[in-house]
Amino acid sequence: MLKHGRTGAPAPASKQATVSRRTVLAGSAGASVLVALPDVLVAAPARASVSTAPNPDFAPAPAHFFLYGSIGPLATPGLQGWRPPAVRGAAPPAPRVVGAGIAARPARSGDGTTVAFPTVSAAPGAVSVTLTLVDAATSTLESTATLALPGVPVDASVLVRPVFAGSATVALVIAVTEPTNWHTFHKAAPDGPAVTTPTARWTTHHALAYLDRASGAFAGPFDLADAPSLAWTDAAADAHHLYLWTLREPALSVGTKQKPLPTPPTRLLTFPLGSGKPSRAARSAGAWPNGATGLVLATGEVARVADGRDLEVYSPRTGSSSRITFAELRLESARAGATTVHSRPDGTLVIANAAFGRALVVDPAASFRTVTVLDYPRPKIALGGPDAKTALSPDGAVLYTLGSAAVGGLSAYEIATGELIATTSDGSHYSGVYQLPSGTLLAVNGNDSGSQLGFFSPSLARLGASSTDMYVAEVF
Amino acid sequence: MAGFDTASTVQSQVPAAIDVWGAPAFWVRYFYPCYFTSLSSDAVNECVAIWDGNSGSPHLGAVSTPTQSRLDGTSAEGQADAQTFVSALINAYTTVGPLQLPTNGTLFCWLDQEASTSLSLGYWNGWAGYINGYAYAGGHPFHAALYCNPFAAPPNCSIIDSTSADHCYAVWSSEPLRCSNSLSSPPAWAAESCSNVTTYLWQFWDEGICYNTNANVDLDVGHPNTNYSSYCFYLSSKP
Repeated sequence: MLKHGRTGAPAPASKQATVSRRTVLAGSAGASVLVALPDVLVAAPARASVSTAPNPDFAPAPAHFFLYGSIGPLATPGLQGWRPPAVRGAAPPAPRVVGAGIAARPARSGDGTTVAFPTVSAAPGAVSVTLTLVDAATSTLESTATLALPGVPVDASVLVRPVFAGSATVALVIAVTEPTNWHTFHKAAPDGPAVTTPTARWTTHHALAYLDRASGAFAGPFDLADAPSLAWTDAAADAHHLYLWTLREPALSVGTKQKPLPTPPTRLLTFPLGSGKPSRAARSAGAWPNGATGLVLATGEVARVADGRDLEVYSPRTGSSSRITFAELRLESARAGATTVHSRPDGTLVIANAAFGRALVVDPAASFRTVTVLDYPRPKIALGGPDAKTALSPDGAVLYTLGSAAVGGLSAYEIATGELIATTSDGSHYSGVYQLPSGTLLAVNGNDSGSQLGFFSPSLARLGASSTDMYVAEVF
Repeated sequence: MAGFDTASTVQSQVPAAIDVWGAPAFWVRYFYPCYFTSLSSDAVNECVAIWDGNSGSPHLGAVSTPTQSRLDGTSAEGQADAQTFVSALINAYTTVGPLQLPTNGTLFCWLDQEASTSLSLGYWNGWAGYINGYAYAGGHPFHAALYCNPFAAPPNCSIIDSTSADHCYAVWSSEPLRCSNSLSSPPAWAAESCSNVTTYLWQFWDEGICYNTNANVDLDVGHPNTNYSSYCFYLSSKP
């Protein structure tokens, strides 16, 4: 039976704000917190009751989290290791710089113990990728390994994505985009003089490599010889395979205006770990790849978001790709926001989109049946900044959202009932929220000189705040 | 000279948006990379809807919305997003027979930077360098342009105004809002702007903030001394 906070058209804001249990907990000055959520919830079993009193002495575990972003708009991205405040009201311990000049966003291992980030070094005749692994518990270096990319010119654009594959392997998906025929031309401007503009013909191919974490050695690079392709791929991996969505570059594949050719299909390739040859190729039922990382589900299927409303689901067992649509997400909007997917311990998924103000719980083991629809007020910052507009408690029982556009702060919903069980706001409007390994919730937003950080307990009691000169893009 | 932009499909908004607001002089639609359905995934039917909505001014502007946190990233990421965008533009152009490039050779290609998103110089140069330098149809018709909230806290204007930045040909400003105006009665020009780049387009009405109508479109007006439609694709006949 479908349980829902609401289906169909959004409910009036007054109804959305209805709270069934009201216990006021003092947070920081000016904050009011409606609480029906224990601070010990992080240790509670799945679908636990959330009716016990809050623990005002919640103490986060001393686990690190990592801010990824740029310090100043002219800098290349970096990574900082942080810990939440040890006690309420205290400042968080001083962060440490973990990486600089990072080539692409990091990845965190499935068990959360390791963070990986790539850097690219380009010298004539010696382009290479270095993958650094960081122990997430201590924020210290675990290992580094360097992979040479022979034959890659120094002016190539190298896009690297690390993908954890089980506990033993980190796959690297490398897009190499090489320029030829460099020259300049004068480009007309509608309101000024022509602009001297450099141009080249850029062509992309991909390569794969696999880091064996035990030995610290790479297998590869394996050239996929797939030029011309789009540089972006989508990827997912399990302990045995890397799944890669690729697309032949449409601009070079669709013919001419006079003689058009069909748009090439997105392909889904399955690579055994350690190999550059796909063991299976399938036609994707989804959209163009976009740099996303897919999920390996409890069912063994592989999924990714398609066009913001659907899931594409690939079955390694049958080799077929299908598209799952959800009537509850067939909503129209003038403005688009990110759709994110959280995995719950029981194998179900939470699919959320802040631009809709809606989250679904779907069950992959039951043909992706919609179990629950949860509606919440759209936040003020539903579109920009991090994609992380919601966070899921470790037991999968509570969904944290950015607070409403009118109030800001954060809200917590019991997923099983759709009830609003806690809110907090001091007037701050956040752009992202994260469930940290310490049990703490982190809310972030940009300001004139970087980002502000707010730390909250599972019951949304404010633990502290800080700021950084980093423009935080994502948190790992 | 006012029109619509939407992350929904034109097909789903015609005739509802026209019933509410009247016929637009242009539609701005999302192309890959974007969060929702790209125009290029159903380009013919989208263009049919544009024609049916206003065959007297069948213009199509182009915007892309990469994953917003990526805009703070590297040149390689910016270039990859631009490569996808150009492929989506060319895919639509070749798929829809009557869809034409602007006669002035200038198609504004908007990068969507939302107010809370930070833009880095590396990303911008990777993105704009690829867009501006792309040779196609005997010319270089794609012109890098930025949708932004010029006075927002994270870097936007400071990037495209920089002498180190690849050229930005236009700004599409999301501020200020003028919720009392409409498509047929757009506000007097008061769009916010950056220092060195002209604001050509102003999103003065936001569906999610101003009012909830039956139409999922935002309203935009072009700079009074320009003709924004002339920097859009246009349809020479019904597809």
